Amino acid sequence: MIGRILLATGGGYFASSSAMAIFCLLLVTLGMPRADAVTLGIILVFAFYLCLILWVFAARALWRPVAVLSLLIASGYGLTAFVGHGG
Amino acid sequence: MKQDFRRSMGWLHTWAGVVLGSILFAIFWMGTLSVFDSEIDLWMKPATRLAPAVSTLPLESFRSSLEEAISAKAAFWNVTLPSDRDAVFHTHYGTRKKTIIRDIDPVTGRELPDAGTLGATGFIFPFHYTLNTELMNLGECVVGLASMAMLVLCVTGVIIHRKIFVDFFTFRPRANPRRLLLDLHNISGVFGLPFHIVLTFSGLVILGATYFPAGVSAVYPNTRAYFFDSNGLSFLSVKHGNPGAPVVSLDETAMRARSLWGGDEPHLVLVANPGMTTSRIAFFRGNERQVVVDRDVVAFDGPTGELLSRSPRLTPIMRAQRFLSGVHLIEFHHWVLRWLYFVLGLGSCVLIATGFLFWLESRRKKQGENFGFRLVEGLTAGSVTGIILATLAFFIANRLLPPGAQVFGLERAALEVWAFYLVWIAAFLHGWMWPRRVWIGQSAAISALALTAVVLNWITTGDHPLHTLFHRYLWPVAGMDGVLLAGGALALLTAVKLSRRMQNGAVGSRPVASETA
Repeated sequence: MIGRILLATGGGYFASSSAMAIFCLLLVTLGMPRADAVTLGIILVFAFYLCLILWVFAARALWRPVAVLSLLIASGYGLTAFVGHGG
Repeated sequence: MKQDFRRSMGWLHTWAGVVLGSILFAIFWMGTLSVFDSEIDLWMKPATRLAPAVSTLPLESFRSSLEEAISAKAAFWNVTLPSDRDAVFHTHYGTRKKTIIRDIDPVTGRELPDAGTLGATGFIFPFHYTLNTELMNLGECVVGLASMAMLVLCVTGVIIHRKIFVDFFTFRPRANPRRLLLDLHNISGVFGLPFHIVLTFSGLVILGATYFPAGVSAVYPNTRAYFFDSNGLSFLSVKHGNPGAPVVSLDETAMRARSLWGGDEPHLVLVANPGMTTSRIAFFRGNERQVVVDRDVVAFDGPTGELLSRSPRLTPIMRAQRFLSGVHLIEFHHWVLRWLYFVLGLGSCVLIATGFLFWLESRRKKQGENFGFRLVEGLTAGSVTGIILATLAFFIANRLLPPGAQVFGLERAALEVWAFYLVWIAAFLHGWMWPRRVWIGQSAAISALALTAVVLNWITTGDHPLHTLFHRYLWPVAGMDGVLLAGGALALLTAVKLSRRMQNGAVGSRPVASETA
């Protein structure tokens, strides 16, 4: 159970952070103004985080959320490391 | 499968509630009080209880205050103009060490005596989103975590609910205490569900860039850049400049700002880097007549008075975000809606408190002696009635401490905050040591303190409820006294009912309907 709590709050947080970074970079690349992209990201990320938390607690087998969350985190950090900060 | 899902959601609902309920209650309680922050300020700073001025003072009458800021090498200086919630001017300027705030009489332009209090805008409102903890944004992060938990609680609460529609109309005040608590929890939860969700969500969005800096740092060099860009404040990102430059007439620039806005009045006048060659004068339009927090800022160059920028029109996404902030911050002026926010906020407090009490009542028979049970029992008392008592102690300390009071080198304003914390800690200890009569004792104490606050206000200022009721500009004071009296009466009623129940031999305690202060 402690594993689930940590995965939901910590893992969910970093996964949503990564998803948000990817989302913002993508929108800016597609030509949306930076302020708009980030603001839209902020509005959406909380709902996304909420869904991740609920999913971690509802899932029968824990490996699925673990896999998806690590994939999200890895790709998010990989992308920002490549593109660099401040776009 | 479905049963299993519901059970895991039930588990989540129970434990997220028990663990973070205390913090949630503190946030919702302080947020509810912040709905009337200006009105509480008026109660706590009697010198500002003034009738609104017929005509506003020219901005140039604050020139001496601006000069003072320049000689103190302040990074900014600003003045807030009176509105129909707040009749006086406030000047602020900030140096590296501290911010100096003064209240200015709207008729004479003279400085009002320092009230020596943080008031609601300086203590209760920041407590709502930082828990008064400034260490490395820790308070804000805890508030964020608790808010996420609130969203989880709202969703899981709906999932574990079997008969949402029936429960909407179910209230059995004569049933056993456990049933009554659950009914109260369900009604406040279902009835206020849109309020709980919208307010929690918009609160998270307001501090979104703090909670999720990843999106900002992906496309901006720093958070400041995003803040300036999204708020139309890019005119502020300038070098420090050299000292010795003048600041042009504030009234003349204000006139130009007004004509750009089609006659609307500014709410705040800011001078950034006052006295420097790069100083900026900015006029922020008031948001009193709209929900969207659309701070249409007009900026001028300080030394020359040249128009620099005006905020661009909000894009649809920005407008959506500003609408959410506006729904949360209630900068618009509408008395009926403001009271509705207050009542719904108290409803959220009832929701959290009854959740706690239901948890306790369902376990009292089986595990009443467990350490965990005792821990939560004391925690509930301290975080529900305890914070109400602490708030009342804050108000009473405000009326009792003489101006300029100092104890152990602490200023008067800090002493009021100490009164708050000492009483709060005492309430927790009371809950842990004497759990049997804690609800009766603390409810009785709430009614006593609420009455004391009203009487002290009368004695120290001469503004008794009958007097304040007949003067329009004193209505906020009358309102606060009225709520204190009503809350005190409710608390007394609760205490009497609880002690009757105890004498009749019924086990356990009944809910304390949220006392208002």
